Amino acid sequence: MEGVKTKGEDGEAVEPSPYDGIQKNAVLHEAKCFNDKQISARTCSEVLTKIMYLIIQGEEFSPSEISKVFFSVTKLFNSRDVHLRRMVYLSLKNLPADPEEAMMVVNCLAKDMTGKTDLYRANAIRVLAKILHPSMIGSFERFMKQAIIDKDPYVVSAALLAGNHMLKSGADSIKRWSSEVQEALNNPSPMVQLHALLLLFKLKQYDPLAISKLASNLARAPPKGPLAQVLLIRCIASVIRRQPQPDRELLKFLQDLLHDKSFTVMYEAARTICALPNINRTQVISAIGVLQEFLSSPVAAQRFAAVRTLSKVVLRFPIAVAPCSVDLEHLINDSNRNVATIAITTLLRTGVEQNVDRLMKSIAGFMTDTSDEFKIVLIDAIKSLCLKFKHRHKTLLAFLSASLREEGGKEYKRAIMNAILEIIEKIPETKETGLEQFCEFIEDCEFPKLSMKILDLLGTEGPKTKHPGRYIRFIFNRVILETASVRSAAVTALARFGAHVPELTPSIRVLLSRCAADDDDEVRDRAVLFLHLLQGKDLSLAQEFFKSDAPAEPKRLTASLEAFLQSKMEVPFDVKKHLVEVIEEKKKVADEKSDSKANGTKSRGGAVTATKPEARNEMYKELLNKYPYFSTLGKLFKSCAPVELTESETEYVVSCVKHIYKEHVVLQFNVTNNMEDQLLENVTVEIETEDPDWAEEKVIAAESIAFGTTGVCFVCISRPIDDSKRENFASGTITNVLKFLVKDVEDGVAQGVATEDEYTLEDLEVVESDFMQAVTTIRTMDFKKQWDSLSNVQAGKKFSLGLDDLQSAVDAVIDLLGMGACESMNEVAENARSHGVFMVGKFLSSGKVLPVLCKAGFMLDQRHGVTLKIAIRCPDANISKLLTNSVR
Amino acid sequence: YFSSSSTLATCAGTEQKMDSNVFAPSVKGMFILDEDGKRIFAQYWTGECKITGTVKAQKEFEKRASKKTVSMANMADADAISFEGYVLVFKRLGDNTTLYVLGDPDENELMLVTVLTAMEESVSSLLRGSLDANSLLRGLAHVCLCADEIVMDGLVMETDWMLIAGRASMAQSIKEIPIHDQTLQQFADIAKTKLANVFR
Repeated sequence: MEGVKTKGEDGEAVEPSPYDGIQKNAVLHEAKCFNDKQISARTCSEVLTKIMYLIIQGEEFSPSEISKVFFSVTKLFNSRDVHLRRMVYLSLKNLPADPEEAMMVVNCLAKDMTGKTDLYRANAIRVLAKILHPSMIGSFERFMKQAIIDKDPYVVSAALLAGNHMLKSGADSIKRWSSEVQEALNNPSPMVQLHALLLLFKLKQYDPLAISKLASNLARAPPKGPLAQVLLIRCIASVIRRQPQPDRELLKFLQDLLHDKSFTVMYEAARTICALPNINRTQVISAIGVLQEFLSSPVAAQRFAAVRTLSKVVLRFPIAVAPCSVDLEHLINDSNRNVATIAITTLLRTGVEQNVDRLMKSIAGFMTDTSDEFKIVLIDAIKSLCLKFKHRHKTLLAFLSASLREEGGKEYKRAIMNAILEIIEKIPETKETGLEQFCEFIEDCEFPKLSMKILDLLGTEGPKTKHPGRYIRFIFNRVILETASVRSAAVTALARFGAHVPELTPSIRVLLSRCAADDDDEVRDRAVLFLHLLQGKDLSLAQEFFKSDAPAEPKRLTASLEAFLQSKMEVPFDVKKHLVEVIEEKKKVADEKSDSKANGTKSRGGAVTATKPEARNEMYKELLNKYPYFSTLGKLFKSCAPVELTESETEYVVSCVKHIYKEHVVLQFNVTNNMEDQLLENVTVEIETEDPDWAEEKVIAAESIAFGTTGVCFVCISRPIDDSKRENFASGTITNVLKFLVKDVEDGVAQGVATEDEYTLEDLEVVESDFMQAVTTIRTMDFKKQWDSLSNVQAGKKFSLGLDDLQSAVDAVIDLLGMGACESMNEVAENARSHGVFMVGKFLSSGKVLPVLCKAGFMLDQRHGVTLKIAIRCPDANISKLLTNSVR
Repeated sequence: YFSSSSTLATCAGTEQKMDSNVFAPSVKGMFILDEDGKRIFAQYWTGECKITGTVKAQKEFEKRASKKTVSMANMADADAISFEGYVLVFKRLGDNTTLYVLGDPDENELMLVTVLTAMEESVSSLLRGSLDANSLLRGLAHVCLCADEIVMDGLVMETDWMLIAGRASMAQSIKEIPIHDQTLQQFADIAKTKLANVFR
């Protein structure tokens, strides 16, 4: 193989990879040389490298192969060759050996650990950390403590990092190292200082008082190395975050580090200051100054770092970032398109209104050579800008429509379309321009789905405009030119015009009659139906048709009709009477399986990106519909946001979604299995409620959950409604235990008998706000009207919140009540001293849904923090009281 | 259970959870890819990181990363992007190889660059400056050892390339071990590069 050279395309000789044709079995055979009496260090090193190569490339070894190799590798301790020894350490750490077998190595390491060679000692400690059983940590205590105060920095670092590695399993023994670790802080090596600091912080992480003491001490005598300082900055930030006002001394320490000689430290200080929740605009200015300098740095990574941090600060302090505008504009042409995109979105958010027009011009140039992914980010930023500066909508909407006509993929076009849709919705005067732009877009749109959506929009919105007639031509063009699905959407849109605009009805009838001869069944059917509806003079039937929803989902309707046809058909079909439940018992298992997978990815995505509530509700509705049992509970009132019941990196990760029904609460548990060697079966959650009236009614188990997937199981609780008693909303605490059968998995195949196991989850609370549905569509005017109509049923209260930031107080109260704020009143103006919010919600009580209105006034006072005055009105005075009391 | 004070307490609770995770300057992964995005070396240090699932998933992730950065990576200077929720810093090593260091979205980019530089310089000194795909594969042992000396459990262990190269080649222990030619040669090389750096 060696020496063979092939000619490359450009005529140059191309060497084949040194591992071409490598085979696992051959390498394992070669590994037999480890057992030779006379060890050839060079050959053995080469074989170990090949094994590393196979591990890196993901070659699978069976457990017996691993234990064979592992055992023979330990033989290599007999060689005195240093390089081979280093490879042996590396291999021992990387071979996924069985823990019991790995323990054999401890004997081999003993000599290296106590020897005089520092390199051997350090390496041996690192291997030891990987293989040591938690129960054995104690017996190495004296040795490890000694290593921590060794004079060689490598040995000390190795020991400290070993401590960190074993901390999870043997925290109690490691805690006894504290005084040695403290001593290591004085070691002259900057890396040792970092590792000592790290371990010290971890040992004290559950003791905020100790951490804050340590932080203040270290701020006076800081460690030397840049990385140790980065760590200290993060620690200090965690202390400051717990304070109502940043401690002056600590904040000053951070601000001094803005002028450190290391860029890493400067940047860490700047980004940390900018991210502190309890900081004001004047305090971030110096940090932003540092970031601004980075923006014009010749080092690419510094520019990225600065612009990325600024893009976050700008959300909180747009005015403070405004001075960076010029530097940011230079970055629009940065060769790193990621930097350019972030720079533009940041610029758009600095919110200097006068710049908007100029900015849009420079962005136009940017759009030509950027990938769709970045463009989508930008479109979103432009949309927010447009909603912020409503009277600039001309420029911005023109930009969006221009982009709509340019080249681009479907997702990009969809993003623009949705942006325009949202603008039309929020700024009524843009509606006609927006619709016109859409008309032009569908003239030349290559994505049928988008065309259909726009046709639907034209059908609903067009008839309400001043000149509905002008849209007809565009829509009818679709009937002539497009595919069947678009044609049928166009027919429906036409019919809507016919139904709502009487003067157009006759001409629409003519157009529809031409569609009635279409080749496609669906188009023809629709045309005939609409012709029939538009026949008479009275258009109310047609209007009624467009208003009403389908009586049931298509699947259910089909099933109902089929059932009807099989019956005797003595009376005509009536949707109200003949709708049957879809019974899918047999299919359920299959459904559940495919569903648990689909849902797994969904719920994960949901957790990360915090999906919009509407989208989330749709998702849950779909999921719940798969289980016929839930349809017996009536209409779903609300699905709450998922609550994590475990930490995010445990063996099993569980989150819970509460679905509220009229008389029931359904708990949906999303269970993710993170154990590679386990298959979970028959997974349920056993609950116990504090309130005896809350009875568990039904449990639906997840059949099986393989490694890396998420399954769903449910518990349905009935919540009795007893009018005589005080309404019972809060359940107090629900304790949860995950129960399941576990099977071992080897090589992807489940083996052996399932054993029962359980896993305790964090408690869950059901609170008043779970029964509240936020309403955000009500305008301030309407709010005032409704408010006045409920004048006699008010409850009010005044409290002092332990917060000293208006925005977070407003967010907390909105979150606490679960109501929606009117017309983005939830946004507090910068530097405001007081703020008022109108909130609206629908509350489920005794099976009835009642409107709830709330006025909340927030006052910021230097001494007392935020004071809240709240007034709640609801037709049921008890509810007003209950809700007022729920803010405590 | 439903008071403003408890909301604050839970806030602090999540914060604390977060602290222990993102506290220390840490590295999620490090990989070297060839021009087609094929893996030459890769190591991931964290359990909860989604890409550490299967090697197949990791390799797909690397392919996408390579595609994204192919036009940006250069030999002069490390660059950085946000990539699939992580921060990725990268630099071209040789004609057909690029080195990547992957970090949490909240990680300090410049710290990641420090790690990247440590890796590049230590490997470069051990492989005498030739960092094309074949040289890296032939010197894979050195590549693995340097990475092993730079990061332990995702935490930065050392960033001084001289120390790293010395530890990876066990150069410090020559006092006790009979010197043979290769070690001496390596030692001389390190000294040479160091001098070159001083006068640069």
